[in-house]
Amino acid sequence: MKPTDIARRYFFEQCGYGIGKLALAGMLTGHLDGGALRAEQPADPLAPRAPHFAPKAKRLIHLFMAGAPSHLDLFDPKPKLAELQGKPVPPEVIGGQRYAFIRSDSATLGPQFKFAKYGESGAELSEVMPHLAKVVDDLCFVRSMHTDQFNHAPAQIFLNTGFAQPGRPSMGSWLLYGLGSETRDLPSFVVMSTGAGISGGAANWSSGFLPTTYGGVRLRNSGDPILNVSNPEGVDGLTQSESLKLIQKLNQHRLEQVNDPDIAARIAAYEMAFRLQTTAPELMDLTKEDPKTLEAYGCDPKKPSFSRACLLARRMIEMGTRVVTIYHEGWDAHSDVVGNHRNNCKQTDQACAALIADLKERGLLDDTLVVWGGEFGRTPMIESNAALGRSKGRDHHPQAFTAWLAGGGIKGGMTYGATDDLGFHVVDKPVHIHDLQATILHLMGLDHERLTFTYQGRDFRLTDVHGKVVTDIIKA
Amino acid sequence: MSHRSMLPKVWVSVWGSFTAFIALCLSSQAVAAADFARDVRPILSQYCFKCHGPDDSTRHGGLRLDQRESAIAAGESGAIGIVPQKPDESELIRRILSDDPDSVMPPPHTKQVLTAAHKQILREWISEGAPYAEHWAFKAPTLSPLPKPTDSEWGRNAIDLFVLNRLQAQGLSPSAEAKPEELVRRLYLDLTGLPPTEADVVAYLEDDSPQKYESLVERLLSSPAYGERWTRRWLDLARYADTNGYEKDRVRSIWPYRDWVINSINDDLPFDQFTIKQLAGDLLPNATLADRVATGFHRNTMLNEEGGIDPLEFRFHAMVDRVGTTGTVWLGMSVACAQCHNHKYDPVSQKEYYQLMAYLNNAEEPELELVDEALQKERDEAQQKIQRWLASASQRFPIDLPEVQWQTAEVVSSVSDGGATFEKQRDGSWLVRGDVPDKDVYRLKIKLPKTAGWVTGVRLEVFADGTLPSSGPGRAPNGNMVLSELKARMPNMLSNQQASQGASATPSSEPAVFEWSAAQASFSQQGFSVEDAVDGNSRTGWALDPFPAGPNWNATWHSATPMYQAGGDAPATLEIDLEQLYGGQHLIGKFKLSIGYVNADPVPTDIAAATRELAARSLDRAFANWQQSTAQHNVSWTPVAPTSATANMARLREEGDRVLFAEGDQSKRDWYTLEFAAQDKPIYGVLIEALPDPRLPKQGPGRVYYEGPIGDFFLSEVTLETGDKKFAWESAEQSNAGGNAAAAIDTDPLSGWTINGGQGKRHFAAFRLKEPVPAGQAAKFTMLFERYYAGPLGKFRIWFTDSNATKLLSTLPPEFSTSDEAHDQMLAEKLKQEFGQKETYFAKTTPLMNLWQKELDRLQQAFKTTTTSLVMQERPSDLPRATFVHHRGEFLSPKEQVSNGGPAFLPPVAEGTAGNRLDFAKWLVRADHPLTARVIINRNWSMLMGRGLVHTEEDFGYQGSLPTHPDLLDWMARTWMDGSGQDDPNRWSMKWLHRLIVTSATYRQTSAVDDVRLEKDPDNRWLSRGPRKRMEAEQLRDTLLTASGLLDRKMRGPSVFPPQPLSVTTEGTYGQLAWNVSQGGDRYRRGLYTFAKRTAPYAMFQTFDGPSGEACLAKRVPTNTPLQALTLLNDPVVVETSQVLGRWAKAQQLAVKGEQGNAAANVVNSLFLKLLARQPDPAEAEAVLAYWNAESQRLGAEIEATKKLCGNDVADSQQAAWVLVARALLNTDEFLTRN
Repeated sequence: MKPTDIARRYFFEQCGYGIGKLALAGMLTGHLDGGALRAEQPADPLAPRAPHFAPKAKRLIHLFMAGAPSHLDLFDPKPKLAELQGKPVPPEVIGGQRYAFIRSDSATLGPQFKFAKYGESGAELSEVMPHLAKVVDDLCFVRSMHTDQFNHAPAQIFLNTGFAQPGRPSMGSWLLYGLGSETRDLPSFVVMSTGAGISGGAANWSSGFLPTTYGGVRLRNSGDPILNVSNPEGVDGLTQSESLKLIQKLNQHRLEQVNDPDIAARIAAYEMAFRLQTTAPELMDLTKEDPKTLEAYGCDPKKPSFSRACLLARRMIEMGTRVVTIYHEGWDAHSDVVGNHRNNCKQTDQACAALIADLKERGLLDDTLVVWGGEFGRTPMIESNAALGRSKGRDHHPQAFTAWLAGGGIKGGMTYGATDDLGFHVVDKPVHIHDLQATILHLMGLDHERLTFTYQGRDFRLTDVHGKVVTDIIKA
Repeated sequence: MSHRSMLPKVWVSVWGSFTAFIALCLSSQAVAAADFARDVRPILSQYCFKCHGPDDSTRHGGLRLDQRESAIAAGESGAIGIVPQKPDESELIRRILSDDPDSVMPPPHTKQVLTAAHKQILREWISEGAPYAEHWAFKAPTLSPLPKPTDSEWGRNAIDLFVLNRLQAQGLSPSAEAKPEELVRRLYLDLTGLPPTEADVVAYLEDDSPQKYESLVERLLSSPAYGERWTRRWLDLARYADTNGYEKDRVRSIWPYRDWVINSINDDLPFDQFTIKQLAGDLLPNATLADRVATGFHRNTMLNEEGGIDPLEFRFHAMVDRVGTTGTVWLGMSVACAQCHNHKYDPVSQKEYYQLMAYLNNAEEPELELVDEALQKERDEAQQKIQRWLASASQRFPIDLPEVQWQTAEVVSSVSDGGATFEKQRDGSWLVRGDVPDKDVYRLKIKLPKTAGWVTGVRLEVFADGTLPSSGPGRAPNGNMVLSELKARMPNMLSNQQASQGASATPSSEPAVFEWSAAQASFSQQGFSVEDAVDGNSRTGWALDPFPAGPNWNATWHSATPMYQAGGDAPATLEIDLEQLYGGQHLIGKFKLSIGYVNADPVPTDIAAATRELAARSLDRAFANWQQSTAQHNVSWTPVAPTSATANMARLREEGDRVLFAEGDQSKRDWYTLEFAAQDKPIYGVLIEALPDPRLPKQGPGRVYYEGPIGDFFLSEVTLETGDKKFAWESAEQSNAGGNAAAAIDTDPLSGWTINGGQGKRHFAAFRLKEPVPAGQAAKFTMLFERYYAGPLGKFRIWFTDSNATKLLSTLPPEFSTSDEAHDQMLAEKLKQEFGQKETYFAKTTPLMNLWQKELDRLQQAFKTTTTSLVMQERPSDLPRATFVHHRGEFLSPKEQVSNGGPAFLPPVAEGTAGNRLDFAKWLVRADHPLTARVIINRNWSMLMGRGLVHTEEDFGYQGSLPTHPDLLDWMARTWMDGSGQDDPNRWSMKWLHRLIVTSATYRQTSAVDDVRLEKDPDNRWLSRGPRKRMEAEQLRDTLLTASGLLDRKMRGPSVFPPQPLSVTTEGTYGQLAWNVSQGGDRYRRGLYTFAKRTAPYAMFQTFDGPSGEACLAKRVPTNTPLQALTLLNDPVVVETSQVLGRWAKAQQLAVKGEQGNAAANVVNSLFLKLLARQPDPAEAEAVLAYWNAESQRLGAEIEATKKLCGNDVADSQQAAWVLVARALLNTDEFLTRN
């Protein structure tokens, strides 16, 4: 018998209960009586909880293209912009917009890549995304995204938490808080990073004022994939399981004396930790993946990459993880938008398409929502600054950008919303960040207005006091 | 009952009892009268106030329910919301009972639904006459009378009377007192954050004194660890961190603030003072350095340095944070809600919110240099030395005159310490032969000339030679040498007086040692300069690699005072030691010595005067030469004062001598406009003198404080105009290497003149016009500062020239070339202090004083910025910052301007005036303030008792929960604030408060709970048992380190970097921080001192619910996660601790005589005592022993694993098993819990 089996048998036979049995019926505070009669912490904060209504998506994979890709060069072709190349944008278009680096009288820069139509839907896509072109009929391109923030950190935190300064719970945390976890063998909200450093930092996946139980867990590229998931040197599986037996026995003994339910929760946490020690290496072991799958993702199993992260994401959601966010930071093309975007597409395009195809093939796409996008768009105006060594770049542009969504109740093969001839402003069916958040929650079975948490005397929501579900892009 | 069947029951009962409790409350209320504060307002607040509350901008139907007079008045429709005593006639009741979705309240779209019980309460209340009551927390507390519970046996102080009273009312009784060993551990952890050692536990258990508990409390309250423990919790509120936050998340220095908190808490600074100093210490009369450091509280806000942010926008966000944090910390109110609109629940209007902001908004945010008494003393001394230096400069000028003859020294004796021999060459040089030691000293005696005269310096020549390794000149394999120190003495030199007596005098017994003013060499190796050979440090020296342009190299040292010798038949000797102590045979191979000599001809009668004359003549000559050379390209400049100086944001003020200083806000695009009256002469060029100042970031001269190079500026463009005419620029020059003043006249605002690297010094840029501005015309000079960060100049002066020279900047500063005579006069005085006179300037720069200038540089190091801390500093009274109401709370939508003011529902801030920040701080702690004392006491109560008397610790408003023991809370608040009078040292004393709580019987109850109490009091709100809580993150780490004896108790100072995986602060983080693990004791400091990086907090602390420092944290919510279990099982800190304990356990085992089994059992007992402060019970002991036996046996065959477990290459399976036992005990719930 393997050591792990011994420990498992111990837990299930000796302890006689799993966390599920300990769990109370999950309650969202928004449902409870107000004021002085407010309920306190639910006993098991990760017990699965019923959504507000039948969900279309059970899981979310968020491909966060941090640094902000250019909608003008990837998704939203603007022939007019090419015509106007070199001329300034009329001041009335610019309005009072502040820019990070450029002056508002900078000249326009035409689209830098060729566009073509793909798939039955005839979705328009730039030449640098040849793989994505093959799955466009599963995607819904939202060309009318807009945000309030024009700097990276605040905009990233805004997209993730609904607020531009750190301190509030992230979308993944809200989802765990609302829905609980389907797995006890892996973290239910996992964060990976495959590009450069993330501007918004840990605030992007923070649980904010929610208990840290709901925070995103980093799956790391170096060392232990999850901090401390490996046994210390000299401790083998058997020693670990025997040690846990002793710990659990002492804790059980203590529980009988002190009677505090927290001890029961601690016992369960140790059980989960031990399982995590088994599942984490299993998760990271890609040797059993079909070589064709690895090839499709373009994934070298030994090297951390966006491709590997996408494959791991699929494996995790198969194992019950609810939310996976992959940060690929590096789209911040203040200079050489061509080189930058070519390079980033090379790193991400194939895996994005492979992920969609893979999920579809496994029947997972129907209830897995995939969201791709950055924190804002890029200016139709050129950024060049000899003093800073910049040329042919684009600055930050909050007024309009493109995101795409797929699976999990999203209508495929559609393009939603539109920008003006310069790609400057949204002119049709605007989708604000809060609307995107409301829509994601809705697809996951949660009403963004009812998913609240009382903190400092106020019921907080992911969408603050805003947000409208974009019903047009949701399958009936 | 077995746990199998019990557990689910516990859980059901927890929940069951809670719902039962609600039902109980509701049903009892339905029978008894509904209490407005307890029962009614929570319902109205939660369900109604959003549209019918204090916010008039969102009020519907003209109905307002938070005030009785409006609630009972007719609304817009004419219907009356509340008709007292007539629920059926009240619109409110009609609407909440309605079935019509268009009519029912709350409206369906709000997704808020009233329960039947709620409706019943409202109905009953209206039937009773709908009485309103002032919210309990908005009335000043009054001293509650002490209750008289029936069982007077139980209880130790006043707290217990209140608690027992409530327990009895709930049909509960107190739990038994916790076991002494449990109490000891509880007290240690609560008061100091550290566990007791076994000795502490044993000492307590063996103490027979009846007052031993109280004595222990006193001891712990006066322990320095007490301040550290309570500081950590305060830092949560202060959102303390060691980085700026946001994208770049750069390091900041504000740990002196943290240390201030530690000191204040340990000194038991009364909480009212603690408050005032942190919010307005800078405004206190005679504010001390510590008072100013205290204002760091509100400088803990984040600073966004991301490329291209709007600095004023993020300053606004910081202000929002300050208001919100102040509200949370002191008022226990979500004041922050009123940023965007009138508060939906509490009586705080949006305007009042910005009035509160106005108090805090009128401050500058500098970095304060911490000049304490010691440093000030050091600086004063340095300043005196510098003055002396300046005063004596001319007397130390070396003799550099044509009459100096450099004569080959007549060496009469040469000795090598290392046994080398010297071979005289025909040209007067010496070749070193024989042994080649690692180090050596050549001791040479030189016979001086028979003619009387002065020795003015020493010259050493070294030569290449084919017989030396690599041809020399040194004896090292590569031919190099290092002259560590050159020492020269004249043992038989006559004193001046003796010399004047002539040759018959007896020489002085003390040798005269040469001091040097200058050192020059034909070449010096990088890092081995010729100056290093006379710096008194034998580790440095003069060397020659890579030997350019041989075959000989020389070095000359000039004496600071010429040495006179009388000559004659017994001339003085000169002793020269060539110390070569670098090692590696870096010895001189071939050399020649010369001395500089000035004949005294005729022999002077007054030697001292003659010596002075010699020095003066040398100085005059050198100075004249210098003046002549500088005059060649000397342009005369005139400093000019503008008739007006304006800016888009800053205020420019002349601070005397035509120097302008900028204050106020700054933006990414700032411009300064300076108007000048008509000049008598044409203007050919403009000079900007950028000046440093201690008030500027990094001493300036620029104002860059974020994102860019701190203390720099970015001068994008300068323009000069008269009337309608704009004058074109011809050329530009700057004084700083690497600067580019031409970029300020290239019409490209994206390029500019900067001085990065030259912070703290003055710099010049001169701009020449293509054609001059004619005399008699007024001129306007404009400077534009534009960058993706704010970068204007902080302090500067403008000069004009009427010279049409091509080159405008000389090596001389403009004040030495001024053409303004009046100004010349003034300068003569002024510059004596500020820059020195011309001669002094010469002395500071001439190479003939270079050694001595080094000494000056060293003295000036005392003035370099040392430790700084971020502080608040009130703006000058004539430069207030305006505060506005911001529409929807948006930075870009400022509306009406507001002035300072407190909210109307609270007492006025100051009588007859709005007051300032100091008044605001004092207001928070005035004796009739209803909130502060209650809020603070409640928070401290919660930290000790596990739960606040008001459960919503951060919300005392209408939405907050009601206190479980209002009379106790008020009794404590009143007693705390008032004491027995003004002079009572217990007034506002934190130690008094903590003492009161921990010496109560309530606190001393056992935390074990029985089924009855669990059912009746599941959350322990009635305090029917003692507190029990998982340790906080830092406490846990400190406890681990204490258990292993690794904890380093050093207090205060910069934050440290204990081990953690390096990827935590690098992988995926934008503002990467190399986590260079601290060495020595700093690895094991208390968690409080761990470097706090906002975007990537210390991993272990984050796992255990530690704060990120990004927002004010009123209450840590402990969680229980598998990641915590992984940390405690596998983290290096735990492993290291276990290994230390394993070693200790093995040693214990060996020390105990007797049978093997008994020894092991004793060790188990000791480990329990060490880690859990108690003995194991038999079942525990048996389990642990069995485990230890099994593991020791199994590991007997696992040599490698055993070594790794032991951690020190010991393959002792018993010790390894003890490591594992310790690790297991460290993972028990009991260990990581404050029981």
